[in-house]
Amino acid sequence: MDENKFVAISQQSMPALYRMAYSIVGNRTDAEDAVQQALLNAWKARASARDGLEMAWLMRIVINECYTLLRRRRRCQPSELIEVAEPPPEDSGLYDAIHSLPENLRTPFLLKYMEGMREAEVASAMKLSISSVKNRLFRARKQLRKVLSEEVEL
Amino acid sequence: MKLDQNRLQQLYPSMEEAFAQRMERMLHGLPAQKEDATVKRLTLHAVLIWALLAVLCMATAYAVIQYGLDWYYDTRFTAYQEHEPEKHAAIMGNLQSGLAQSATGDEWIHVQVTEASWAREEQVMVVSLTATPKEPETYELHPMWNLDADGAYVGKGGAEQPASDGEDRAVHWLWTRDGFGPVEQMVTPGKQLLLLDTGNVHLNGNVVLGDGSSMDAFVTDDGVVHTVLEVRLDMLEDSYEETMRQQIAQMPEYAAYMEERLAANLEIRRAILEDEDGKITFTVPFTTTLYTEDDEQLYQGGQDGEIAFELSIR
Repeated sequence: MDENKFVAISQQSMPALYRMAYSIVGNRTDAEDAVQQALLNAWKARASARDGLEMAWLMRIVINECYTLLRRRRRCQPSELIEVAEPPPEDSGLYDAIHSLPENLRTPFLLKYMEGMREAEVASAMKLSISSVKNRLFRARKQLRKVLSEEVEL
Repeated sequence: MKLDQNRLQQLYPSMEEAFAQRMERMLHGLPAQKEDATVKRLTLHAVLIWALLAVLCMATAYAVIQYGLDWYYDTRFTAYQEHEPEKHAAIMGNLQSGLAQSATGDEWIHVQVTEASWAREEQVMVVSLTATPKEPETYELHPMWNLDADGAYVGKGGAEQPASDGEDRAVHWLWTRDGFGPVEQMVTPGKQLLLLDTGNVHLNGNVVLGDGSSMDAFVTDDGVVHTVLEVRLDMLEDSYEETMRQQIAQMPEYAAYMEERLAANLEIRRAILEDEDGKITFTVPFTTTLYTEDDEQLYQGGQDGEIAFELSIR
């Protein structure tokens, strides 16, 4: 990927990268650290990005950086207990429902439905097969329906 | 319930403007960094001038850069300055250096607590620890956290030559200032990799670990492994025990873990509050491991050590 394309795609993807980082690390400071470090790592490795999957490639580096950051900073509490910001009051039920999903279902769900990524892109970002992504999305939707006690229309 | 993209995006906060602007500047600065590194054909005269300038710059940098907590919060971890200036001011305002200390199990490395801060007003303690190999011509020291930092190492069953960073790997990779790659390519030829794993701050055998405690470890430009341990001192708050009891009642699935932590933290609280001379000796355990491809030795071998240091808490 050439330099200009890298800068353009990074700028365009930044809000999505930040949202996904926040959904994993649960606070602004760590989300900012993860995105910044991930972009520096991505810049060094930009030759390895595949055409058409640049966004998925960047997302994968951010997700890896979030996991690394959580591990390195050795949060003393289980990751499920990390403090998260207050969601909008009118949607706290939805927020709680999404965060009741285990991380391995929540992240593909958010990549697909919050960031609008194709299943092939989600698979690339999460290092999964497309069938695994489909399976996880199905399980995530099923669990959300159960938690929200109503049909989830996507 | 209809879930559209916009509604889901509203669940998470947007980037703050200051961060967005910082990223914008960083992204636009990246291509310039590469151009700076471009090799150009130079005349002998120019080479001599550039060499002289480089020596002057290196000497100046060596004289100016001190990898202490001041540098750390100004350069590597700037979030406190931007988001929690009171905490940053408290940490820097309570810095203690020249601490009385002693180490054991340090046959391979020089280890030192260079600075520490006891910022009671912000309920935080910070310890800065540096380490260098005793035989730098033989060993190259890195934090253990920089080995397989992406979590993709799986040993047997992983790819011998992964197609890209992050794929399951059969070989260990090391993160260095030059990037992330197989250990044998990242360590200086002829040197052996030595890995340092640092534990948490202890008091009287109990780990001092409040909510939000953290650790960061990295290698500086001059090859020093710098570890910064931040310890939350929420156990010193008057309401600590009551708060913990409420949390335990709300989360019975974590009760055993939280009860254990509560008991240890109350013991730490007692030791700190009952201390009479205002000085307490803390310890930080560490393990130094010579790199090997035998994973059992790599993860469970190594030499255990400990550095004890005295800190004024009044």
